[in-house]
Amino acid sequence: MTAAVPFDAQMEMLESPASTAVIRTAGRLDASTASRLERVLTDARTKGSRVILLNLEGLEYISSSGLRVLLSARTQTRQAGGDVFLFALSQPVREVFDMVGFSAVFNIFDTMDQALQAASILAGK
Amino acid sequence: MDRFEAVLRTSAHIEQLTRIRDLVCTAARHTGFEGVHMNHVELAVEEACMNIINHAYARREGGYLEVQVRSERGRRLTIVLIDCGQSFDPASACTYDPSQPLEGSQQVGFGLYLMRCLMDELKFEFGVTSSEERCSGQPFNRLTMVKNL
Repeated sequence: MTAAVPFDAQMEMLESPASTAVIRTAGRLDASTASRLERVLTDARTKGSRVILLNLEGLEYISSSGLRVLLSARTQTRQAGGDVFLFALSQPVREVFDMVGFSAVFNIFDTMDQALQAASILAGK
Repeated sequence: MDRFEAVLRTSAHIEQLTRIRDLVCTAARHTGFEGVHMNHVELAVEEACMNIINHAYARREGGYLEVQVRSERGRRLTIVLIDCGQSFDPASACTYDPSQPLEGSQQVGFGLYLMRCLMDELKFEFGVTSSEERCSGQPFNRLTMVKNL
């Protein structure tokens, strides 16, 4: 039996594009860890991030608690004229996204470069 | 037929999710589930437990939660969750519809929707307990989830 990877979320503020943060996630985003990601996302917005790029490559599991945090972050950043871009979704997370229709709601990219390009365009508006 | 059965009697608290998940995964492995299908079982059980914690017990700590697992190797996994919280009527619950815009009230109902997607059968029952159900004569909810291999 493979041990579950502990949840982790690390934020990095980018100099360019301006007002952009990258958050790298790993492990299980479930009912017991969703509040930790929520705090990191709130911290990113508090520090002035208008655009948030979420690296989901290391995220191996997501439940509805995690989905609600992502949706709430998207709503709040868009209300402030920004957005949340997701990239490098793992297969289990992509499957859940497809199930609940999030794949058609979020801007999702294969790579960080693609997400950065979209962030640059939004930052230039 | 090779069977595995186990019962976990615990409290409806988020800190119990790991114990519950471990039991369910043990049973699911016995059935023969692996990979993405194991993920489906874990997710459905977490959603069911969180509905009990957040709605049946309205996040009050200490509510009774019983998890029964029954595995028939190579055939099916049955998971039964029993709680003594507020009755749950799936017909009157908010229904998530992924074809509708994801705003406002559409942000609720993910859990039940996922459970329906991930499991082959869901049965919600509500009744008055017998002595076996440990709810001290209180009404109880019983959710039966089945996933076929």
